[in-house]
Amino acid sequence: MTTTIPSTQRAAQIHTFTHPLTILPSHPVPNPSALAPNECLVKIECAGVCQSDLHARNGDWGQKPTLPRIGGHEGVGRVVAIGEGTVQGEGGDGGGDGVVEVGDRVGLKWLARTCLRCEFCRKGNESSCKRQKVHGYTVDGTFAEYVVAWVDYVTPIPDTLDSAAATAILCAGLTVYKGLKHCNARAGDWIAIPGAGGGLGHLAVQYAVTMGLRVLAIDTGAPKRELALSLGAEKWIDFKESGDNLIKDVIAATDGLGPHSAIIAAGAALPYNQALWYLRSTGTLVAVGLPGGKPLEAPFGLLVGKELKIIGSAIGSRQDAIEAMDHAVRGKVKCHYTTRKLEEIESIFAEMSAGTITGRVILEI
Amino acid sequence: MSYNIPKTQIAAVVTSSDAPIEIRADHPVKAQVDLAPGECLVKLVSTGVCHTDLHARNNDWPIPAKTPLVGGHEGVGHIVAIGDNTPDSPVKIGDRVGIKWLAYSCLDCEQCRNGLEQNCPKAKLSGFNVDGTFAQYAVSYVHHVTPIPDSLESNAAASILCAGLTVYRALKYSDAKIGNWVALPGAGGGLGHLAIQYATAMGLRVLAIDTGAEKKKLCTELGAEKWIDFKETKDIVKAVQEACDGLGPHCAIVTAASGSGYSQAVDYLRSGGTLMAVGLPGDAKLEASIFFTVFKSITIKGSYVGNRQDAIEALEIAARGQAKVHYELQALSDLKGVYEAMEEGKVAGRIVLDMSK
Repeated sequence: MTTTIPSTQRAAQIHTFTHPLTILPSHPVPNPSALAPNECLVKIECAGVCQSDLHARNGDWGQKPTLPRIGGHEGVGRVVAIGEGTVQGEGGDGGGDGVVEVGDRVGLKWLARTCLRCEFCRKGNESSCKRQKVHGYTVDGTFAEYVVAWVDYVTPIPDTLDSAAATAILCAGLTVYKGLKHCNARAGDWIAIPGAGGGLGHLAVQYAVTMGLRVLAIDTGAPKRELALSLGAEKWIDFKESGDNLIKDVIAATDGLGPHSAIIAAGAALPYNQALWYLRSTGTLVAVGLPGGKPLEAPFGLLVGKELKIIGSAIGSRQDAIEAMDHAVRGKVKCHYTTRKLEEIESIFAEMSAGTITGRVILEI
Repeated sequence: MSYNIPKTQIAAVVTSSDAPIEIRADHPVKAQVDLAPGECLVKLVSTGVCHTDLHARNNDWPIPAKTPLVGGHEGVGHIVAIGDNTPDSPVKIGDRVGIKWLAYSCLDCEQCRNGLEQNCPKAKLSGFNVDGTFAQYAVSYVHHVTPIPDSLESNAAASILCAGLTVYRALKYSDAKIGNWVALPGAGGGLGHLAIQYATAMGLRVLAIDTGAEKKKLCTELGAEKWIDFKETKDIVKAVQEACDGLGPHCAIVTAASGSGYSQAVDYLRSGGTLMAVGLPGDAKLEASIFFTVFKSITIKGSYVGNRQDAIEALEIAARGQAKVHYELQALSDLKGVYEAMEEGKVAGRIVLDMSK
């Protein structure tokens, strides 16, 4: 297969924090002959929009992206070039389950690559690698036509899953899937999922159902209620209707004892704090969201008195990504998405902030 | 720093399973320019001798060893060369590193991603399907050689790389908790005497099982709380159970070369206990009463060497002085005699070959 690689491309770039992304019409494409060993150039087909991209745009977090920076970290595309001197297999990196070749369809995630050698990587905790490279943050990302990635880190996309369907599994799916692995739940346990109608939430509902959990979906409005229930949630609570009675309502809905666990991807602290009140004793709160501002408030009477576990879970490893993708391939998890164009990125961010997006937005690049 | 790498070296070569070991003085050394990306050349200082090397030499396992073969997989030395175009080498020339059984794994398959590097389908095994450390120089892999902590001298580090690592990992995955009893058949041997120390470091109570006054002394000095001489005991299962609160140990780490050591463990283990099967006898079968395995909620786990993280942890414990190898130094040219002593069960602790002799 031959592909002509152009010298310029369209890309959305963070230039100044809190300012709109600049849509560059002729941004240079990385030179394929200048790719280092282990690098590859990927032509992006679809890119998901994640709330973290908004945090990156605004420089919300302590550690900020290096600027200027092409945003985006959830993409599917085809490898069009591989760095000269790349060795896959014997003695080199990669080449385990399959050597990455030009023409392969691959997924890009938050982690562009990790060192695979440090204590964190050796233990499978790639998310904590201190030498990680992050797409859309410390290296360019998927809001572009062509992006540099790493052959030993991209996730293979099986032929039976189309690109738009696979895209949100790479960050949203991965994140909730790995979080659920840590929620100490057994089949038949109750799990509360605040934000069940959102990008991560609606995937969490499906993974939880696949794991045999009974899902209490929490969100607001009829479209999200319909989505959550159609995906297998057993019960639904509208937090706006419950108001101050939310905690009482959650406990009542889960056998009068509270759910065994809660997985929360919300962008505000309140749902996390509420969870500590409604969780069953010895229950687990898995926090995967990254709200800026207020911290988690865990009164000792709750934490110790109820013997709760609070677990922070960040994205996931290559193995988690492959497992998360496998569930999607087998049809157990389907992303609900709408497709938009790269140029609409700012209006998508505005809708995200207003909470009006159901499911995921996937950009067709 | 640059090293003068010779073209030939002294190496112990086995050309077939019924041929004697040849100590050759003209065995070729791979030149730096011939090293593939990811490969490194290590100049060896010490190497331990493991019973597995004997199995490799005799080719008596269900999986075949290569021939001709340079055996050995407990080597310590310095990196003298690294292949060109090696991306992101975590080690550099001059570093002191260990070569263990698992010389290489791909780090990209399901097993490797899950940390079970030793079960990588593309694994290369030192002194088995690639040449090993019974030589002055060995080719190994930058991403898998294990850095040796500065405070641990090379002769002391060598046998941690296989014997120490293997028993450490078995204990790590045994579910044994602080205060639990662990039975160690073969406690006076190469692996056993290290198992006593790692178990003690982990807060376990050790019942050492072996034979003879010399091994009894060694085991007790190393921290075993109780001792059973299997040759002097008529009913081993009863004796073990009595020694462990009358209920049996919570765990047994079995490195034996015959099936009986394992079957007995299923009988003497406390309910809910775990048998960690560590030995690698080629033909033996583990026979366990299905009824009692189920009725007593016994777990039987196979534990095979360890991954990079296990190796680093095992060495750190040794570097802090909590696991000391009892070894006797010999020379590479003594290897034949070492194998004979091993076959006769005469080796207490470990034999380490000092490459400078």
